[in-house]
Amino acid sequence: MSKIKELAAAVEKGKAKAVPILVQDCLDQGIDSAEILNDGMIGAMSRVGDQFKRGEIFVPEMLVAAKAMKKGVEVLRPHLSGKQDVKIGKMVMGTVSGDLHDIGKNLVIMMVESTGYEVVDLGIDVPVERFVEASADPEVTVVGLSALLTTTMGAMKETVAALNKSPRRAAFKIMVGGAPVTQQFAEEIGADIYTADAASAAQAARDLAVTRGASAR
Amino acid sequence: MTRIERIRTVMAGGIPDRVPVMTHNFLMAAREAGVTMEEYRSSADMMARVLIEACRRYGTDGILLDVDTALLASACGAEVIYPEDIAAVTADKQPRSIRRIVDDLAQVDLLDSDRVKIYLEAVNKLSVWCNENDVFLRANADQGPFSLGCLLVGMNDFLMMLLDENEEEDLLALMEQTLRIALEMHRLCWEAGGHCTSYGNSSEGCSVVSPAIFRQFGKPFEIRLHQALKEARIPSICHICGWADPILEDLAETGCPMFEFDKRTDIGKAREIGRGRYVLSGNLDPAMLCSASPEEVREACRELLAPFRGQGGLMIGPGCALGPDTPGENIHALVQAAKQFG
Repeated sequence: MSKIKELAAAVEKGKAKAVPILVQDCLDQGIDSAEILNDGMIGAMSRVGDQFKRGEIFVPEMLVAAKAMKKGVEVLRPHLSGKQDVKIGKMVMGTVSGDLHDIGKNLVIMMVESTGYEVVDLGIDVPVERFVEASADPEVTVVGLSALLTTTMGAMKETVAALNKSPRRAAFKIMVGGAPVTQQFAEEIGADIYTADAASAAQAARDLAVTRGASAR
Repeated sequence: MTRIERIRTVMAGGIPDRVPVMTHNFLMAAREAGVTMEEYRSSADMMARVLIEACRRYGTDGILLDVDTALLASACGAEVIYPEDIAAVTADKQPRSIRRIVDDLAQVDLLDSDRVKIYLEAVNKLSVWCNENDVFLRANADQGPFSLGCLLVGMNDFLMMLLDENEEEDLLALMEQTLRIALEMHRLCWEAGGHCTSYGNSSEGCSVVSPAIFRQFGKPFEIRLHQALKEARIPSICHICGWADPILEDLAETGCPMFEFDKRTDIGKAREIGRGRYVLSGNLDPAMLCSASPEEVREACRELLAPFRGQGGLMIGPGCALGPDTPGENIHALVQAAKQFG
């Protein structure tokens, strides 16, 4: 098995100790850093996302894979700078006001980051004004809103309504998700994109970047 | 049938005169009463008053006493966040190592916790009123062993540990302790006057972990919990949010008499697999109850109730907590539908 394939398998299995070593092995063999990133790690995370969507793996498996990739990127990052434009977009992401849960948001952040986005984590219980303020950043292309509780869907509606009044509205898309959220609800409140899980959120973000003409991986 | 008899009959697997109705409404009831979550969780009188007012308003067959998902975790030393008007939650990042948590849990006495004492006082106050007014009281004993372990360790860390074979011994030691504490909470709720107890174990469902993980770390402790509850003659309801379809047969083998699922579990499949082994509570969508019209609520109830009418096997209600802004007219529609179509 080639080192790149070995690396991809280690990412998929969430081997956080092995992945940084394998990244270094790949570098030592003279493999191009972009190839290590794209074929060794991002491709692996994409397969992890697909397996999650099909119900073949579950949240713990996603978490360990994302953690392993993060460890690998730490080793690779110094070798990437200047070689390619790492960032394909910028997302701000938070759990809406009144909701203190963050595992869903964290999973989305990890998966979206794995596509090449810079993601700013606004945290939990994020007030409407904070979302609006964050969306004013001229680089932001996606605003992500998460809600785990049925009890906080009202806050999601309020936040989307406020974001829809932003003077930059045409420059970013509003993505919503979380256990109680549905496509119908997303449409009712005026969000652009509903995604059912973290892998779908990453796919949607990547599709947006492609549409915008960014060099999505 | 009296209201108490109606729910007892369903939980025992019998056929009631109609399908009973109970709502998971503490957030909504507090909002209607103009009471903040801080005021609600700090006073047994407030909890009782808020839920009694709501029961009188809507005419449900039972009251579900609940406060948040951090009651036991707070009594076990977890870091908990207490917002003014949001139900308390445990912090996702917990400072203690799993070994330290296991050691600490061995010393935990739930009656040392002021929050637990206030809660049990509320159970007792509601019990008096419910017995005088023929209302069934479901005293929620907070979290099951798996979910309590998850909250104590912190969800991210706990979930990743489940895949690390080096952590297995510590995780099983944690489950032993959380089982003991969960069981003690059921006993306290029962002794305080609940007609049944309930608990949430949502993080062991398949929206979070695999069936294999459930079988290794969840199911054995569910079986032991229900063996002990059965010996103590305490009827109980297990609430699992999210997708439970792949573990329905496993759940049937735990001995739990009633499961409460939400909309993501196939209620028809759950009914088939559970026949003769468990009955159901739920599974109306709280989002639908918050945003639909009363006519749409009525139609959703009619559809859910049809296979259960005259058959037993269901207590109708939301599959999870109602939002604070749920329209009262929709709860009236739910209760009326239960009486008409159940």
